[in-house]
Amino acid sequence: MISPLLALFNRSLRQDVRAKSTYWARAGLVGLMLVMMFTTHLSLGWSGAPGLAFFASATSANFFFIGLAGLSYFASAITEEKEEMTLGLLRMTNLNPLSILLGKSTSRLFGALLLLATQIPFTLLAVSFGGISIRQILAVYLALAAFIIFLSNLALLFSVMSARTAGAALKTGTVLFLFFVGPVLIPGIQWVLHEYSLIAASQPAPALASALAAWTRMSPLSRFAEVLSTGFTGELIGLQFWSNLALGLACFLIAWSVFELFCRDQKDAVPRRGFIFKRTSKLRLFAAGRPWRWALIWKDFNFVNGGLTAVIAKLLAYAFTGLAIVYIVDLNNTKWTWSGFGFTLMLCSALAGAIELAIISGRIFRQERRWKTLSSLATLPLTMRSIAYQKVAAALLAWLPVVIYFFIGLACATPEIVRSLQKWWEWKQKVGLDRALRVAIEWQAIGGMTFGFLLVIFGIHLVVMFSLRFKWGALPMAIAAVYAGSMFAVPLAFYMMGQAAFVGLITALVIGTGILHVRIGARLEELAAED
Amino acid sequence: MEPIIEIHNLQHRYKAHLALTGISFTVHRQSIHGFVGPNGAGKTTALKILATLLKPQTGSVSVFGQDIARSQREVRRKIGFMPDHFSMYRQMTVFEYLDFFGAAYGLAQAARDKTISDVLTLTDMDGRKDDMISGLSRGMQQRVSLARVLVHDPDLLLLDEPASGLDPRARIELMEILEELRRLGKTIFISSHILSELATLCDHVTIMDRGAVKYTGTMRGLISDDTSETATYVLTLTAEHPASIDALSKLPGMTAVSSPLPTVPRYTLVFDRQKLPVNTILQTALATGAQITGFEAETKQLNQAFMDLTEPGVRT
Repeated sequence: MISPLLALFNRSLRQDVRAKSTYWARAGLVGLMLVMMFTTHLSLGWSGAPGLAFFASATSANFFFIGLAGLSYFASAITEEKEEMTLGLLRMTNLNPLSILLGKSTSRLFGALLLLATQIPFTLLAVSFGGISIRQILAVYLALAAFIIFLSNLALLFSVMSARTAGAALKTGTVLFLFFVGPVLIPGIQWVLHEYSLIAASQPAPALASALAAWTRMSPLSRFAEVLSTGFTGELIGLQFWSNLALGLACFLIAWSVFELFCRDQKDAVPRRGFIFKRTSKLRLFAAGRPWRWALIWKDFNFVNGGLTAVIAKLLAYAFTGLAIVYIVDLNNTKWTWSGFGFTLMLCSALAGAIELAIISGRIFRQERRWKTLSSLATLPLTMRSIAYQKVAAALLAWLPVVIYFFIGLACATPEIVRSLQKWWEWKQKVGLDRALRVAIEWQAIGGMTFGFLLVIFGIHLVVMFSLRFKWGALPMAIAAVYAGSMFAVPLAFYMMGQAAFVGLITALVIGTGILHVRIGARLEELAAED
Repeated sequence: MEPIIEIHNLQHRYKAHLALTGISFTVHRQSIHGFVGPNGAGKTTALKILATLLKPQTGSVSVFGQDIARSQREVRRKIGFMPDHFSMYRQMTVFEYLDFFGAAYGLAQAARDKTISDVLTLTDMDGRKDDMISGLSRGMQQRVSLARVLVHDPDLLLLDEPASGLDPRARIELMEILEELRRLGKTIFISSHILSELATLCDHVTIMDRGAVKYTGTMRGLISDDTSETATYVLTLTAEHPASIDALSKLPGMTAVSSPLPTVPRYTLVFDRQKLPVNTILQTALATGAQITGFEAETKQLNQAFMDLTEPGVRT
């Protein structure tokens, strides 16, 4: 007889054992390790420590996947029950908060740890490549395990405290970011404040400095750097292991203690209106107004993407960021140029645009799916293609601020870009570069840029597709799939096709995107009929 | 009567499961046509095909004479589909919601203003047009949902369980709105589990079971059983009258006359429709001096007809 405390935990483990996805995930990760081994094998001739290089890649991949899992798989542990309005039902049973937490989160932690354990026999082969010892491999896996425990419980805490998975993921991501950059950020802030004569000291005090040093050592990244250095003979378990374990336990205990406070009342799940005011409000300037000729664009622009208020807020936020960049450059006493500013602005807006686009593509159809409104749209006298494109147009409209700033940056940087192209032209004339080599360099550059652009388009399609297939985690899953796919496809293409690799990769991406495009349409029709 | 929906030999399969086994029926203009069946009978599949959400696999479906597979967009303009769940943009106000759907159907702003005003009056929601939908009760949300279906003035309404989850008052009010819509010339095809309400509301009915049509035709035809040779009538007198009952028992073609009920002098007469005209029965009763207060054909309840036509148990 299973005690009520472990009932849900036991059920979750049994479900995981029966689910095909568990085995697919394990096989996928092991497959990725084998691809890495294959690329390591290719580099055996010219790499000094291929085993170390392989294991460093495997560690990076694991770290990346753990981070993504923290933002999706772990962060949704309790919020998914809240969103489905089933947490109240769980609480009505004999299950107490501890058993719910163990069942909903700790079972996921076990699954993730097993996923890590599956790889160990394969990654131990790195020893045979040379440049790494078994001790180093085990030390890294222990560090990764401790980090998973910390991250899963941190995400659990925010999952308990948040109403939605997106909120929990955002909070987890923010805290994780601060955990990693904190030891650098704090001295940075102190230096800025000192530069503005707000504080006297420009460096942290000794006590703070030693605390920051300890903080740095708690980071798994520092631990990886330490363990993967040549000739590592340190302890198998370091400060990072114990500190991450302690932080994980602390997060779990806090989650347990605040569970009642945050999960006592079951709130009716209602889609958010944001800052779209009613037409009867005094702030009706920010109301949605009357629908446009393309009514669906109007609906999505206002009620999915935040409308005019969100556009203004983004314009101000990006302007503020631009000004901040100028100030930082100024503080560094670097020579300030319009083209430098333009490049920075282009880079920042491209980064912000990519993040925004990834988020938008994850929710563009998810909202309709979640609130079961797709069938109402599907009976409009429009094709599903037209419905989808109108929704995309609304998303792009909301994306406008970042595009505006990108083009401002481009306008500022254009003289420098033109100058660089002229220099390249003059240089190849002067040197008398071999035509074949020149063409190869130019085509590789164009191929690389096209590949990057198409990879983003493919990634967006994948996010949309996953959002139509899975309840949560579409964005992290798509990022993981694109990352794993690139790890596999890019070396393979260069190995098999040499100079023409980009042609093969671009063709594959175009075909893949085309297939996804058609499948998204078909999936939308299926979902509309399922509603 | 002009047929509005014509379904002929329609089959639909979900992988290994045959949801519709080749059904055929017709829905006539300006009728309220009930669509009844146990869970898993295939009602929702048929409704989704009519609403153009699913493509017909085999057989033909035409709405207003247009093939549903070929003229999807034209058909969509003429139908209004209300699914069996509250699929609404609950972050919108009532007016925004109706305005959006009006615009999506291509109505100009002035036309939308008039139509929205009309449908809100019809559904008695004109006082709540600036309220958030999320703040409305379930009954009111159902009214808004119905208003949405009406906003482009469709001739045919497809309603899937419109009264489910509503309290008795909201349910009665919804039925009154549907009656009013029929008077306005709409054809209503309504799927429901609440048989008593369908019996009073619908003039036609189709009963489905296990993917097949078990009955389709008029409601009266279903519950009165006019086609049978044996007729059953109920005779009610002011007081017990043994002489009269004796005379009726001896009429040629009379099969059985029941004993009176303990509290009311009511008799059930079973006779051969061909041999014994109803007039003869009445004349005989009056001639023997009985005071008649009621004489009517016994009708089955829709519940009974439904139970007779459908098989027990869950479809596997």
